[in-house]
Amino acid sequence: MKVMLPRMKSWIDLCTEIVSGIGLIVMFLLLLIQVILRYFDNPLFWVEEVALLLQIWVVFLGVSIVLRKGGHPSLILLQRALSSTSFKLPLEFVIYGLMGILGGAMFYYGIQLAEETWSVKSPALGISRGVFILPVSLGGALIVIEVFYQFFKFLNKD
Amino acid sequence: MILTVGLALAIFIIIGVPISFSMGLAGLLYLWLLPDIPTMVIVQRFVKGADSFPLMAIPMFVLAGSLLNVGGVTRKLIKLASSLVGHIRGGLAQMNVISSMFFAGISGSSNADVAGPGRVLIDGMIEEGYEKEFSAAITASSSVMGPIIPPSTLFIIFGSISMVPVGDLFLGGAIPGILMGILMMAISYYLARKRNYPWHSSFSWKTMWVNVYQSWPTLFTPVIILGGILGGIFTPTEAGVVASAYAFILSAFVYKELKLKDIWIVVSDTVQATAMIMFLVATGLGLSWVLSREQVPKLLVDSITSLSGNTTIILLLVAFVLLVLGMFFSVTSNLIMMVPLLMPLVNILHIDPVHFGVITVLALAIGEVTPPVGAPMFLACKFAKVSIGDFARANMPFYIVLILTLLLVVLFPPLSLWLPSIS
Amino acid sequence: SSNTTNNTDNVANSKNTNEGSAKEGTPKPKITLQFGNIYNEDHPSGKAALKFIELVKEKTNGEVAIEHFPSEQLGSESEMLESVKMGALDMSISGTGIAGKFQKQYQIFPLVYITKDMEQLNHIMNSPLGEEMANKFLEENGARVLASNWIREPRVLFGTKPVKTLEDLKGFRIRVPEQPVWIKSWERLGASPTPIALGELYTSIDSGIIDGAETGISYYSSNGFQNIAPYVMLTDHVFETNLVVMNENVFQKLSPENQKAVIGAAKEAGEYHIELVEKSVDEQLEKLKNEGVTVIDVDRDKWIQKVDGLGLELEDLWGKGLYEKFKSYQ
Ligand code: NA
Ligand code: NA
Repeated sequence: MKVMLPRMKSWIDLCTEIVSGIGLIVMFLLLLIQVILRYFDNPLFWVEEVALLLQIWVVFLGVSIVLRKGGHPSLILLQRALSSTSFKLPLEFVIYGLMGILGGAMFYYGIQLAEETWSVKSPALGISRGVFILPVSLGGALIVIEVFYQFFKFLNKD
Repeated sequence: MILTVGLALAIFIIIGVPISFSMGLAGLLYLWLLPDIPTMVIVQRFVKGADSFPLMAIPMFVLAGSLLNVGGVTRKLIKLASSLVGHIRGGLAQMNVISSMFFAGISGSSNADVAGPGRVLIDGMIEEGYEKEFSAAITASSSVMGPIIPPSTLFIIFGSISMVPVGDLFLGGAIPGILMGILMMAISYYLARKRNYPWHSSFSWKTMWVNVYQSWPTLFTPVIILGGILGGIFTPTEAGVVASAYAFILSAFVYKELKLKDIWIVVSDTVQATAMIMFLVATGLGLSWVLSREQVPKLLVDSITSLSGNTTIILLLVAFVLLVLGMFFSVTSNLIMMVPLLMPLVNILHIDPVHFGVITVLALAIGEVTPPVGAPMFLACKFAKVSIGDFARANMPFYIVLILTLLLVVLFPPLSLWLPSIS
Repeated sequence: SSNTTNNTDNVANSKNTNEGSAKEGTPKPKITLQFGNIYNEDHPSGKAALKFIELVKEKTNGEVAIEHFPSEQLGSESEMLESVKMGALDMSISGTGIAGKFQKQYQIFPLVYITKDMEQLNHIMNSPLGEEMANKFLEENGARVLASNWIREPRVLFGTKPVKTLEDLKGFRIRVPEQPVWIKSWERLGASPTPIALGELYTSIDSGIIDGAETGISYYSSNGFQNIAPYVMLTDHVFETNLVVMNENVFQKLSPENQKAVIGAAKEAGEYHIELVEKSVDEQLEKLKNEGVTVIDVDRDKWIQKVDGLGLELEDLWGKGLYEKFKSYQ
């Protein structure tokens, strides 16, 4: 368990980074090609839609990466004030717990909304609206995984 | 109800939950308290945060800034700044401002400036004996020029919401941005004399020309960006793509400092910066939906207009409100929340929309370096290892400069309107 | 409809009317519905929305109150429709363009010259065909179309250069919505459709990336396009209508009398909407001419001929047989 979990976790992290990174590169290339093609009067009609879809995926997968690296801006005044007291750990638990709640809500309601809007079609390519919404769900799940992993690390520290 | 949500938001933020998560949780709480409305509507607001074509300028300009930072371009800019002002007392402080001005002409955001040249300069300044608080302060404050001097992701966002031509907004920001930089250099010079800051190197015409020669392809970037937008080759959003492509060519083929493994670092940095900013936008949209539903912003605009009929006074009031909002929310969330609500004022009072746009972006951008919330401030504090409180104290002189610039822009419209009028 | 005109003053002062009747002691509303739309309150659709709210109050003796969220406060047209579908919003206004994402038959409207004027479209929307489309929408989305007679103004072509004939349209770079119907329609007419995000339309025309676009006349004038693209072509190529849509579960909570009253109010406000639109189109064209805009009438018969049969090629988009049904109304 203590060996397996970190290994699985780093595998998930790597996948998340690769998928979002490739998403960004494809987004960039599509937009670049579009500028060039339009200059020669031959633009593609689905670029905006696909680039947006990629952006949504990049953003919501990226949220958990940023969380892991501690990159989400926050007020650290209280945390720092309590850093050398016995309140430090409970406070961390509460903060991570709250983030986990938002992640869980994103996961659960994301699936609900994706289901609800599955029949709605995007204008250019007729892609289901649900495909635009699922990344929120997936991002939420990754947040929850990150939170549980942090809990696991807290518990194994003592 | 709205008070409960507000209180919860404040508690989340104070105990240290990231701002984006706090806003998302506050929105979620509101929907949980309202059983009639399906909670999944919050996901819809979140998706909207990333489902915006004009906002795609953000990852693209972040990408450009990040490429410049790893590709050695940043170092060239700092060297150029050094050869120009390194010999003045407090030379590194001057360089910090100058390099931000150069960098602002290439990148569209404050964060890229702090993360790139800012980070290098903070280390350098602390090493030479500047107080670390002052080093963080000047770095963060000079980065405010990033989105004021064109190009600017914030003007792109403003323009996309208000339909004000982005080209005009870009030109409108140029003079106020440069003015801000000059004032910062003046006050840094005064502080350097008073506090006996060191100088850096002696002046040599030869070094300067060598550096100008090496940097000119970089300094040419603003010309490509503005020329391309105004000349009808690409849209402002696409300008970010073109800037990235140009930065890639510069660092990979001209300066030859970009390695294959750097590309992955750049991509990963960009993904993270984009996710961080857009998750703020996304959760901010969730919260602004709640506020709209509770008629809060409408109340705000109504009370502004009920206070006075004088355009200048209203602009000052708006600037003040935006300054306060800017302290708490990211510029992007604020633009998305406030611009649609404030634009009616522009029509009612016949304010020039470009003037209004420059005021709005400037006021909100200042909020990026005021506590409690502001990404460039957080970054600078992180690099210099100082607390937000100490940062704010050291930053007092620059707050004065920033507010003074804002006041001048409000009171003297030609500062923002002259350049667009002659283009 | 003379009754409709007399009520104009009430609409403009709806705030006062509310306060006035509260003093008179009207019973407290049994239900308050939230109604969102993208329009400013001085746009014809915004005015009609206020009228609708007023009429509902009148016809239900104050039992049904409506809280108004104009100007995109609760999201875009598409997002509000999504909200109505899932029950996060009670009512919204949605153009057929957006509704087409939710019920594909509505995708037929951007097919250029599928209807020839406002009157004909109004007739179709009130016919069994219009009802069939609304019923299908209800079935698929759990949202009821209260009225589909809020006819929008005709769409015009505008640009930085004049287009008098189809010959002039050759190679004209036009921004159209990113949907196959729009693209194919304008390709068939000979133009070069170019994808540009709506938010970047102004800059793109100003800088010359594209030559023009096609919208309603109020979008043109309220966004200041006359300053950069001073040619307006009265092509009247597309007529669309706004649907007033209500969540079905909420609708079923109303008493049968109130259901009838709400539908009646929506339709009556629709009649008022048509009047307002016709008046506003005339006024705006007059104003634009005075501002130096060149207004050009085109030979629509030639344009109609040019797209003949296109509807059959594209009929997978909205379903077989619908095109013929539309044609049978001509
Ligand atoms: Na800039
Ligand atoms: Na700086």
